[in-house]
Amino acid sequence: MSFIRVENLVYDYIKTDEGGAPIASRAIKGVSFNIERGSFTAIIGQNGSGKSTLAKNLNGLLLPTEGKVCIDGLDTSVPENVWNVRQKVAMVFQNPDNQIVSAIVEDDVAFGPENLGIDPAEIRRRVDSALDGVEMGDYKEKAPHMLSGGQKQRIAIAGAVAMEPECIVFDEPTAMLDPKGRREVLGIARDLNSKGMTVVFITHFMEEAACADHVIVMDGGLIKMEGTPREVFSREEELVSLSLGVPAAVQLASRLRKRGVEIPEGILTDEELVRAITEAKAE
Amino acid sequence: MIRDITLGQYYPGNSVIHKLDPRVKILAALLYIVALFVVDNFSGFIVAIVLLEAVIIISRVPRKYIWRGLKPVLIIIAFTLIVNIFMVRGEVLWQFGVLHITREGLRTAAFVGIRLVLLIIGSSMLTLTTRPIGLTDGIEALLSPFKKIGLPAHELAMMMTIALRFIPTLLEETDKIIKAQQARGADFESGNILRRAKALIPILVPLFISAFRIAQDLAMAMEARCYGGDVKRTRMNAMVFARRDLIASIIFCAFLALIVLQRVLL
Repeated sequence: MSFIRVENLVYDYIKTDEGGAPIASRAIKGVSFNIERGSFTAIIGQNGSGKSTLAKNLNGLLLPTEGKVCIDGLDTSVPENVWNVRQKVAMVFQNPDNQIVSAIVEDDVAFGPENLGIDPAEIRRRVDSALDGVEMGDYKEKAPHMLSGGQKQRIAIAGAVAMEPECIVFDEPTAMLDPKGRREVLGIARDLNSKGMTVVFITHFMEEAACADHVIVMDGGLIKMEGTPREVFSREEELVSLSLGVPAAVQLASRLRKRGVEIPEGILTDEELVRAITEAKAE
Repeated sequence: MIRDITLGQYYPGNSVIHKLDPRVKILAALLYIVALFVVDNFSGFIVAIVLLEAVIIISRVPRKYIWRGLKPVLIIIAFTLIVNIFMVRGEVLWQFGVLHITREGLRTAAFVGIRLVLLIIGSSMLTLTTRPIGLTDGIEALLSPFKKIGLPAHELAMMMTIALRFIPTLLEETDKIIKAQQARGADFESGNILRRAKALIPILVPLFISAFRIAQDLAMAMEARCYGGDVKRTRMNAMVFARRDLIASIIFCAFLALIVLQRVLL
């Protein structure tokens, strides 16, 4: 059975109009998909496509208006499941500042485990290993506001890891970071995934999505495409029509192909492109 | 820049003072302040200074940090000194027009000055040697007996933790808003007080809105990390009343006794 099962999920944000009458605005209009244990799934889509709303439905922060979300067989809409679900699916948010609770790095990482009511010695062990895992062990006693955006985001990831979840949902974790911070965060996500963590990575950087083994493309609250990065990014026109692009390497490869350079199909990363170009030149 | 302000400053260290139970330190700091007001002669202050000096030396907090805590209140201290020197009636030592300095005035000024300086250094020794979480945990523990009469001790402590954490963030936010307004020609520096106060409104409104946005984000992030209030929560650094806390308490009680004795006897 899949780790995460989403069935016909519909989500309405309820706002009130000037008269105070509720108006529902539908952010997700019926999506279904599965996420396998240990996989790395990227969700891409432009602003307002519903991808963040979807993310918050994955650990019971938002509950489905219609349909069902099951985490490891637990229905998120059942109130008794909520703590279990949140312990299984941790989350890292977009703004590195607004998710750090404590004024000392290690105290912040301890926040999650403390909420779970874990034994102090075990919390200490988890905090140390989580901070070492994101290479922030030397910053234990520092104040978060003295750190760079990328470092803060690493602290936030350590905070999620310390809860020892089975899955981490990254909700646009790189949107507010500089290129160096982006590389660091993506690197850690891939590293965690290689150690068996299920990763859901929401982003609008196509290069980041290319690292995933499964890509879901959202638009207007619906899933428009789904597949491996190779499958998805080979449909460049469709992506452009959704105001999305393809990774630079894919774009360059297809342009070279049009110019008659012999580049094989399915190029995804810079490294692959470099290799293909050198091979084409050698011939 | 505005964000350089040190607030709730903690100086990381490994001294005995750092390791003391926050509850002991908070109570000691409070009683120390009370003691400063009990003292009514200079020998009492010497006892208070000796204790504080010992704490500073043992804690190995650089004097630079202590001085930094004192600097912002220097004006207040200077003002109190001047008021006391010139306002207190008594045996006149020097006179110029309506201004006069009296023996009693000098004495009171010196008293108040020493008292204020010790009060500020004493309380900043607490914040310098106790991490913010320790402080709020300590306050929570000390307030928890009042939970029975409905005092939300945990919630208050959590609010303090978050406030301490977000002071620099909000300062940064303020800085950003000021710069954005200045870039569009806002003028915060000229005009009388009323005009300048009015000029603050376009800063405060966006600051308020952004504070609410931050609060919403943070609440979401806390929920995602299974925060559910006080229920079944444990702490990484659980507070333990150790031997050193007992010894520190005994020393401090001896200090209090000395203060009370010298007040009664001298």
